[in-house]
Amino acid sequence: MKYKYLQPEDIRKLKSFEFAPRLLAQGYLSGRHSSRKPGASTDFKDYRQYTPGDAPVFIDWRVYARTDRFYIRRYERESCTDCHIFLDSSNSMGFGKSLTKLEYASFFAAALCYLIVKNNDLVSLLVFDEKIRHFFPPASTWRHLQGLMHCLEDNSPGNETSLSHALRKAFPLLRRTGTLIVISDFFDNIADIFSALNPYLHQGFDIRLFHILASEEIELEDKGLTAYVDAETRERVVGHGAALRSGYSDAIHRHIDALRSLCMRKNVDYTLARTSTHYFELFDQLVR
Amino acid sequence: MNILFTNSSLIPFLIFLAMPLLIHIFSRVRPPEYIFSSIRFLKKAVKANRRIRKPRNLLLLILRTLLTAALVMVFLKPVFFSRGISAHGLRNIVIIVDATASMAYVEGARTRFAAACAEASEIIGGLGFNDRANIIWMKGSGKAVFPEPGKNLAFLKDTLRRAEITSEQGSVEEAVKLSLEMLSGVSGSKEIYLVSDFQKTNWEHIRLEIPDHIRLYTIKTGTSQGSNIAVTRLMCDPPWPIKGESVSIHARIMNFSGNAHQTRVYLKAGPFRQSRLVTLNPRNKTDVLFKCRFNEKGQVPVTVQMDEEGFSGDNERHMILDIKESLRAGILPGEKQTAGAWHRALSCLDWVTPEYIGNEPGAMNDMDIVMLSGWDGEHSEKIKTLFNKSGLIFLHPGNGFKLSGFNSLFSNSESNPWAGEIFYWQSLENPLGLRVTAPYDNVFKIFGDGEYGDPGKGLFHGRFMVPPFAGRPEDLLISYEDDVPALVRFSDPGIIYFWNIPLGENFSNWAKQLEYLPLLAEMIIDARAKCRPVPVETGHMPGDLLTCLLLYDTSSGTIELYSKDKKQVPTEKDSAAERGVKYVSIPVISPGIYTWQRDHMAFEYDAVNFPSAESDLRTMTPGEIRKTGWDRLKGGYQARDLHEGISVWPYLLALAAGLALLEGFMAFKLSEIK
Repeated sequence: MKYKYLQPEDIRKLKSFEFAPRLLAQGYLSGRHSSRKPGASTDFKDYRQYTPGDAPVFIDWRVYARTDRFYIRRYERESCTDCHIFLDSSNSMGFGKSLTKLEYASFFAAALCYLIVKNNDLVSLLVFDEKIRHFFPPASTWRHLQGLMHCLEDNSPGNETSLSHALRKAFPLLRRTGTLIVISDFFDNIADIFSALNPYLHQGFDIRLFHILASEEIELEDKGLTAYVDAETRERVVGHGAALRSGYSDAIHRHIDALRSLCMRKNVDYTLARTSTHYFELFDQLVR
Repeated sequence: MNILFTNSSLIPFLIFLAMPLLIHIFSRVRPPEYIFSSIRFLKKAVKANRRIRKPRNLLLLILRTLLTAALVMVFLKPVFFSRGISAHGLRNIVIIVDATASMAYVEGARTRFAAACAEASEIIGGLGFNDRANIIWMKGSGKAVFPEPGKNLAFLKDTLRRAEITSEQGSVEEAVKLSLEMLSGVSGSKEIYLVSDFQKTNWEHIRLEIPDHIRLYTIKTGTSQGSNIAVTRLMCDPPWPIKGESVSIHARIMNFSGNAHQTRVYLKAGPFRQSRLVTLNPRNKTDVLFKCRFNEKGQVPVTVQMDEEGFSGDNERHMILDIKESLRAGILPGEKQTAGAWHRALSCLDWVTPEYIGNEPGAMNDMDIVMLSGWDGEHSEKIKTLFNKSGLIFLHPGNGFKLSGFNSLFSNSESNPWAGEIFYWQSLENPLGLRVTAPYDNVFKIFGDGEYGDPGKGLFHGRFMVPPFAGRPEDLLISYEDDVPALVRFSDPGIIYFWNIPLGENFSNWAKQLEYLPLLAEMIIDARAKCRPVPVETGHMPGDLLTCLLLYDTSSGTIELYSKDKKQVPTEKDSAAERGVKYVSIPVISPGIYTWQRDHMAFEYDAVNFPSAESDLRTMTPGEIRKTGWDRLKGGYQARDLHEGISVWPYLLALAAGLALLEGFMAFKLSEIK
């Protein structure tokens, strides 16, 4: 299997996350939010970590003997969860020197899709800018994964960002609750974003925000006197990089802090990702 | 202020002033574009930064514009001229140089006068080829070098170089008046320069009326307040001593400095030499007393001098004492009997020479005692003058006498205790005697033991009726038995004896009494002791002409005048003299005793003294001079600058350097912020 955003070596690396991804898929992404539809099954699927309240009868004592940790044996119906990935493809995501934010996000989204499909979970993909550009309903087949990869490959930065608009428009498309992963640079009004997320929270979605920013966006480079042109609105502002650095840094960090703070309050998971760090590290963030 | 650009052809280069602004504008155009993900946060940063950056950039723009302007102006070489003065046009200037005695004070290495001449020379040096100038020496009534401003500037400079200071006084108003007269008839700009030490005592009350079209400038020489002690006055008591009489010579020493001084004061009076050690408090005066007795009549030159100190012109003072054989008593015989009685009595005293005088002007001037019998109130002004000069006067009233006329002799009402006009001759059927009402007065001292009798003895058949005396009781010497005042004394500064004692045989026998002569003598002696000492100086000062009038024996001998240094002073005969022969000298230049000699024998002296008004060397401060409204220059070079103009390009260059430094500093600071 070889795609632009999912290379064989990436797959090998992802396989080494066998236990960890299982934790991800089982203990965290899937297992944390147990299915509302009760049901038993004899088809062993995988393990998840024991959480207080689980029935001791399902504890796998052999795994305990090996690892000194409690794990629950899960069966197929329990582990089946929807995972919805919203990928921001606005023009601003096309920023980046060696690796654009969109590419970075696409790598991460591809890896996630692979892991989810590999776990026989359902994954959907929604690509948006100012409107929804593409939507792939949840599925868990390899063909579905193939479609997602092609979509990611053909994707390119679009128009202006309107995350809140896309979230509102996407809500009716998601029939089942699950995990919502939003990958964006979040250059939008935070209040509008969370206003759009409220229905999801109310519905019981488990929301993860991945804030993708380029290093040049966090620390403004000194390019001297420059006319900065907005990638989306084409607005210009002239200034001296060195003179603006301090003020810009304050502004962007205030934005990040505000976003983080609101996420904490809303019990939404938030991760800041720089394109200069490997997207694999984002999975470590998820494990914690 | 007028301004002139020396390199006016470079004025078009002022367009470079626009350069900083153009650079400022155009340097902001077309910076390189950079596609950024979102300028949302950049806008916030730009907004915050603009609040600081914009004023700084504006300041930098202003600095650069000023710097460019200063540099352009340096090349234009502007020159500033004073208001009303331009670089063109004919100039007429009169320089009044203070040549009064105070200018002889040495400050630093030269006198104030030398400094003044140097400043005047500097002013003349700034004149152009066609300009005209003149110098007025402010001494006496003002002496000009030329009759009007002239072009011979080299001669003026030479005059300044050779000028020497004397000990004269001078009149500012006269000098300025002379300069205004000189400038009235000339065309072109007109300027007067006052170069002086602006001695406070002489200048602080001066107010000058200068027409608007004439500029007046002052240049002050002399910076220090001057430290000086001086002999300022000599007085003699009695003012006209006679031989054998004890004479007190009072010398006033002034300390004009702010420090205490101790000095020795010497008297040289005829054969007498005395000295005193004197301590002088700061800014204070002391009177030193010397006592002498001259046994020969004649003129005695008296000199009082101190030890040498910085300003020596006023360290000595001179006077000529006229020691008389006897006192001259002038008797105006308004009432002959009384006058005759006086004359007979005084003739018996070998130290008094009585003589009858008339009403002609000047008759009383040379008299030591004036006795007016039967006075009707005439010549009251002369009598008043005599009284104020510490003279001795006997006043015997006569017909027509008015008390108001008598009262007018005194300057204040306390001295004329007779009010009203009650005065008439009263014949007495029953003769009245006299009564001594002030028996302890000095006048009656010799009568105490009875050796000289009783001055109250005598009977009178008539007298003038006058109101009761309401003055000091000690001044009512003798009264009639009915308390009508008979003999009253009025004193300070001179002495007037009001004599209401008729001496005619028809009215009394008093003149034949034994007591009459001693009383008259004691009255004269006591009066001389009571008269206030007067300065006996002749009032001659350097610059004056000395005169000698020969009334008798005018033909024989050679008359010459010698200064104290034994140098002959040129004189000439004044043929217009009304009587006798008059010799007039050239203006004397230094203080001292001048001796008139006939065939090398001294026969008369004149004393020339340093003008004491010049002894206080304190000067007006620059602030005080400014308050008068006169333009003040710091020196002659400024006068030159006013006309040559003040070239400001060095200042502009310094300003440009300063602005460049500041601009560099600001730019550096701005880059640090970036």
